Order: sequence, then structure tokens, then C-alpha cells
Amino acid sequence: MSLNILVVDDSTVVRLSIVRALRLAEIPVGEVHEASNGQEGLAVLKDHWVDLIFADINMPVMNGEEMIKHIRAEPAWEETPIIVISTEGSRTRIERLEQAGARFVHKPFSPETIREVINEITGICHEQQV
Amino acid sequence: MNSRYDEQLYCVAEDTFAALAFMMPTDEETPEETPPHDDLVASVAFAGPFRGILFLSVSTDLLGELAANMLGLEGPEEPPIDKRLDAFAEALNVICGNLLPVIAGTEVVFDVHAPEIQADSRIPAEVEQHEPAGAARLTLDAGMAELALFIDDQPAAVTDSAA
Repeated sequence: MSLNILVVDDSTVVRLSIVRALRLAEIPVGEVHEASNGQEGLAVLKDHWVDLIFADINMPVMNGEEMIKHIRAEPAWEETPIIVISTEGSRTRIERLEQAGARFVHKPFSPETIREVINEITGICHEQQV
Repeated sequence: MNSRYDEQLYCVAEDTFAALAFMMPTDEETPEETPPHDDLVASVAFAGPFRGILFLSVSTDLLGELAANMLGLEGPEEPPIDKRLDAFAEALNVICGNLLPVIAGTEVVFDVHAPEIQADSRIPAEVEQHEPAGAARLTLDAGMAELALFIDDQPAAVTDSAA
């Protein structure tokens, strides 16, 4: 099984770095969709099945928190795993994201951290070893 | 000069360059009189319990290596300019995001704005006339990186602090 992913970040370099980290972490990746803000991310979700979403918080047009609220309000996407990758340092804001069902990974991140979090969410790394 | 945050700024920048791009500071001395390598300057503003702005200046040589390392590129081919600027802005964004909890704690909320490249490659005169709250200079293999932090002690509203 491979994961279709959506990466939402206003930085092209960050989007590429996340995809690169997934490959270095040997996560089986299927389709990769990219969006540069929350609104674009929601548009991608309407047209494509996505197994896992990576999102930034601070983005123009629609930020990550607002996008997550929209995603959780939509029955078709309410269970879709979301990993927020951000420099956010406020416990208040991180806890709010976690209450919305998102996992938080702090920047800068390593492929190992990404692998660990994805495995906790999906168990996909364990599946690969079986 | 108020140098309260010099050390914190240096440590956060050192960690960021190492983690993002495998770039470590050398032990080379950087005398005070060395002219700033302000080939390119970016800024990021923030607002929370206090507001301020952080500037990062780097040489163009460093810019290329930073982007290439962040993207995992190998070989002589340099990343295009848009990727170099994007990597530069992201490095500053990560430094700022990691610096704020170090100097203000993790209970407070800051809005960190999008980084901006300074068109004239200078810290604006109206900012530079103030004493920085922190400054740091890192000598990396590919060039020099300089940071200057300016803080306005006036509290600023945070868009979602009440949420």
C-alpha cells in the first residue's frame, strides 16, 4: 500500500523538502499533491483521494488552522490524518491543533521523525516489514 | 548595545543552519570591523506580547549552498533563483519561530508574518537607527550570515490569542 499525500505550504522548498524526507524515510508514496495555502489545499481534496495531509500553519489566503477546521467539518475528510509541520513554539496553539486531531512536528525536522509519526498514525512502516 | 539576546540568537541560528542545510559555523574569527556581507537581506516581523522584526543577511554564495542543501541537490548545478530566495526566507522563518519561545516562553502566542526579501538589500534606515535587541554573526563555509533582532516593547494584538 502506498499513501497519497497532500502537502500544503506556501514555500516550494518546504514542500519539496517534505516529499524528499518521505522518500528518505522510505515511506511508500503514491500520488503527491501540493498546495500553497489552505484554500488550494481544500480544492485539491475535493478532486483527489488523499491518505495523509501535511500542513503549515502560517500561510497566506487561508492558514493551516482554518483549513483544518474546514477539513474536520467535512464528513468525507474528518478522519484524514493531518500532520502540521511548523516552527510554532506556543503550547497553546499546538494544543489547539492537537485537539483538532492533527499531529505536530516541529521544524526543522528529520526524515526519522516523519517516519515515526507516520508509522504511529498509519502503521504503514510495520506493514512494509511484514 | 543591549545584547540580551545575542547568545540565544546565535545558538538558534547555528542549530537551524545545521539542521536545515548541514551548514556548521567555522572557528574562523570574524572581527567587528569586517564589513557586513549584506548581499541579500530578508526580514520577518512578529507580533505577540511584544512585537519586533528579525533580519538575516547572507552572501550570495551562501544562498546557493543553503538552497542546494535544503533540497538535497548534488553536483555543480545551482538551484534557480526562486528556490534560493525561498530557501533563504524559510531559513529566516525557522530561526524566528525557534527564537521566540526561547526568549518569551512557550505559553505565549506570536503571529509570525511571512518573510520578506528587502529589495535594496539593506536593513531600512528607520529600523537600523535603533539599537538591536540581539545580533549574531555566523561564519559558515560558504559565507557569512548575520542576524539582527529589533524589538518594540509595546504589546501587540495577536489575531487568535483569544481563540
